[in-house]
Amino acid sequence: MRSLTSEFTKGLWEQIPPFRLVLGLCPTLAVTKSLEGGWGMGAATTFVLVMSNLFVSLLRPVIPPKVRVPAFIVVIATFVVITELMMSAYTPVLSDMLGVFIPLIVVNCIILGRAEAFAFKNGPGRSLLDGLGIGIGYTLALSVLGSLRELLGTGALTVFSQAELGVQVIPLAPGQEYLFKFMVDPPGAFVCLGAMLMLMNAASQRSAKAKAA
Amino acid sequence: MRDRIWFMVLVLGLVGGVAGLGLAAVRDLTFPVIEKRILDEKVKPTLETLFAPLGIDNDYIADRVVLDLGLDDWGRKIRLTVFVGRKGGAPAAVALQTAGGGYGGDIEVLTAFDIAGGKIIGVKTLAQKETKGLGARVSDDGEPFIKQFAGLAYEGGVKLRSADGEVDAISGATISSTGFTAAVDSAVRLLAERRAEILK
Repeated sequence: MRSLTSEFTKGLWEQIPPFRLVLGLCPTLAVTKSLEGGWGMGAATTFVLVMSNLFVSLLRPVIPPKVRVPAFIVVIATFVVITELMMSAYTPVLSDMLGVFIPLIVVNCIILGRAEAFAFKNGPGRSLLDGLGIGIGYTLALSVLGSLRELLGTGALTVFSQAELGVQVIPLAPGQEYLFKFMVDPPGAFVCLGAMLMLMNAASQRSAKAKAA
Repeated sequence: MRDRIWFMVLVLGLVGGVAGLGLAAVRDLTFPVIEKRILDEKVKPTLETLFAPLGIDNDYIADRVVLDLGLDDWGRKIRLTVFVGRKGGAPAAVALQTAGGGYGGDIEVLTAFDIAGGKIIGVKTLAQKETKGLGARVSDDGEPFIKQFAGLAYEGGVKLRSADGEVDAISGATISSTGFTAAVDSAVRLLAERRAEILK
């Protein structure tokens, strides 16, 4: 059995979604136009993931295995709606930016995947750490992807536009809106994601070789 | 026991029930905040311009009145939000949102009334799906058709000239003009019917 620390840290590199698990790619591509979209989506997903892992694990002794999937969906959907309502009330700008991708967390395979593959087989403590690790890993991945695309696309980094937090890293000429518009368009998301997957695979191959030698 | 049908039904029912209760609590907590944000963003700027000439001094967003208009075909309650502008505590202006059938769908209109003067202060299109360049002109605040509503005496209803009224239709957009005028007219009727409730 893994140590409790490694249940948490595995989500940060070894099993980091979307790169290692290659799950949850649809929102990854859609919301990473900016750093703000990236971390916002990551934070919302982390909340749902942690809560659903915790509750699925707590309900494990009473849920009959035959109806586990509907039970998971009810738990997940509840936390997604809570997230949606809270965001719409208290972070309206972020909520408008992420739009339909917040309710779509319900069908994010990372969450159902963790409920089925981990939380339904482990205790509440481990499940909570697993959810937290995977969630933070997902947030990091989306934030890096979002920063990269925003920086190359518009030369700016927005952290929280509701409070006007953000910097224009590369100044734009007057009247200029984009540096490299391709990066903030959907195809740019595929290219960036592909490049990041390549770098991550190269890095882990190198470390595997170093271990073998 | 975990394989029995009744147990599965019971567990799913309980999980669903608890989830429903939790969601109801969160909705009660967030609904006022979300509603206030939508009103502040969408309705407040329009009302500010419409109510400005009358020297309204209350917070008409907070003082809004919700009317019960009966039940719809599915038995759900139909509600209408009415904004009452007060001057020194006495109601001076009322604004309400109604809809009329246009050429491309419903035209949503906000009508503001000067209660003391018995006149319409002004009208504003909130949503429409009319033909561009013709019916869609109802969205343009500078359009002569829209401007003629300002200052119109509303007692007895508001009608197009073709129906013995005083409003000239937009030429080439009769259906849109009729729908728009019908929306204003239904606002007049609602105000007359529910006057006691609105101005209490």
